Amino acid sequence: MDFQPVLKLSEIIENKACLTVFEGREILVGVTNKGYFAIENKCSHQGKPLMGGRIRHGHISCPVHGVRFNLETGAAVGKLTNKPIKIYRARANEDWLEVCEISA
Amino acid sequence: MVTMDKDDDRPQRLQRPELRGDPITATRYTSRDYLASELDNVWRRTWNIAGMAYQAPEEGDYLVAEVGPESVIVVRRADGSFNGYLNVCPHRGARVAEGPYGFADRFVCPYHGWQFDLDGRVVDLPDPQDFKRGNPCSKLGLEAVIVTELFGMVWFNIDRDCGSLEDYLGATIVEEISGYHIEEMVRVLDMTAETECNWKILTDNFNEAYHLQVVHPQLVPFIESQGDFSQIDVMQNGHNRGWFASYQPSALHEGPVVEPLPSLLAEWDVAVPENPSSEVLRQLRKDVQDKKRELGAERGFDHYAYLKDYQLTDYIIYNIFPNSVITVGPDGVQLLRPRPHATDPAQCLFDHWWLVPKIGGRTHTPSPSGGPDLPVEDAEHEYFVYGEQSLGETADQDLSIGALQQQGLGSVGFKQFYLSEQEIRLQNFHERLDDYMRRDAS
Repeated sequence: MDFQPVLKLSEIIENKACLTVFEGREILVGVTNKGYFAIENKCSHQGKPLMGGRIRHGHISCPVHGVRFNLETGAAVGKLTNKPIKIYRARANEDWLEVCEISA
Repeated sequence: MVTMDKDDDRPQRLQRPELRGDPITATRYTSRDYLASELDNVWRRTWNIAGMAYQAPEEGDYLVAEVGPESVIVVRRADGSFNGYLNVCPHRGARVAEGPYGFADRFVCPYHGWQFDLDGRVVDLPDPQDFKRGNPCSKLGLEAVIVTELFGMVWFNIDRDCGSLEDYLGATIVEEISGYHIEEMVRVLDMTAETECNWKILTDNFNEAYHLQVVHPQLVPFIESQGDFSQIDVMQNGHNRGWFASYQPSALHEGPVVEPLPSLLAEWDVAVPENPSSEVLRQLRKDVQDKKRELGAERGFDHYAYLKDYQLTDYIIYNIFPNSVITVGPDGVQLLRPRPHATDPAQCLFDHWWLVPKIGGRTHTPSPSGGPDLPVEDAEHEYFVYGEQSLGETADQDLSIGALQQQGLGSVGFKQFYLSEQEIRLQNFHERLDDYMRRDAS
């Protein structure tokens, strides 16, 4: 699987998630002090969109119940769920943020 | 208003409240009935710290604090103030928010999806027409608690008839701790450890320095724990204060000057003379204070401008009733806080925070007890069982007595405490505890 450009880097603000589409699925992309991230836009707890969740300490918190997910690993923090969210590889290439599936 | 003392070399000695000499027996440490009563009479009526205000910078950012069986949400509102609620859905009792922090436009109960606005009111839910007793919207809500911001921390009290936090602490504590401007600091260590003892075993430990020479021998070469360069004051409402001079050996220290004292002095260009007399050693601390005044600002220690002379070198411990132990030093502030277990008197949760001022150009700061330097950035919370991971050398030593004493207090061989004068702060604490347990604390 190859990297595909999904968003202009100029549209990205640190610690803000941007909604975009990759391979027909909604994903969130952005940058933190730990680097670029790309995650599926779906909370593993009750399936609601993660869009709008605030990002702190390299985690996004679900805007509905506050479950936090590590943006590098997808791991959930807390007691509501231990199911991770799907993550993608993300990188900057010239003016674009590029995303690619993580091969098994 | 803060007034500079004429004598800037130590905290002003306070009038000692009359103590009754109540016996302190084991029941308060070992009895489940006592704990249940304590939760009602003490924990649901006193002030506790929910977290640092800076952790919740924007509207809807919230912190969740747990004390025994209670869980409290404090949430930042649009006007910058905080609201506080018991973390309990009025429908069927589920917790509505998970800690230690998060954010919400609305709180949404994970069970049936009841939604609450930041004022705690039910504003939406599935099938509102299905309730014969009436639509819960505008009728029900989260139960409010009292919230106040002080020292950069968010405090709460479950008792809605409580007085102000400032009155509870008293002017001395408010003025002295405010002088450190904790609201400008960053928390670089944030740990919680499950511990096998009653919470009071640890507050007792922080209410006396008698154990220091035995449990913390590494402190004796550079911190005073008794004698002329220490002072303990018992205060109103069960609070206490201890002052311990540093940058000089304790009166208990024997033999030549040893590390870390020479290194601490050398940081401020003060050298230890050969074969110093005790008077000369006492002067070193004053020399450091002078050097800090002279060189502090140019080295980026801007916060020294706030501090009195003794605060430039010494450690002061504030034992805030019941359990908020705040230790201030020249370059940082610690919270050493045991919290009660919900049902088991022989367990508690111990929190250790280390907060530091931002010192120009420094990216790392010494750990409070000799571990590797810590990055100067907001720390992620760590939670573990005592013994699995270090809380820092000194805190580990303090907690090492927890299970030992808990077990001994459960024996028929123990009758009551037999306290020294330097343990008088314990007596003050326990007499206030007795007042609360009889419900005659005002």
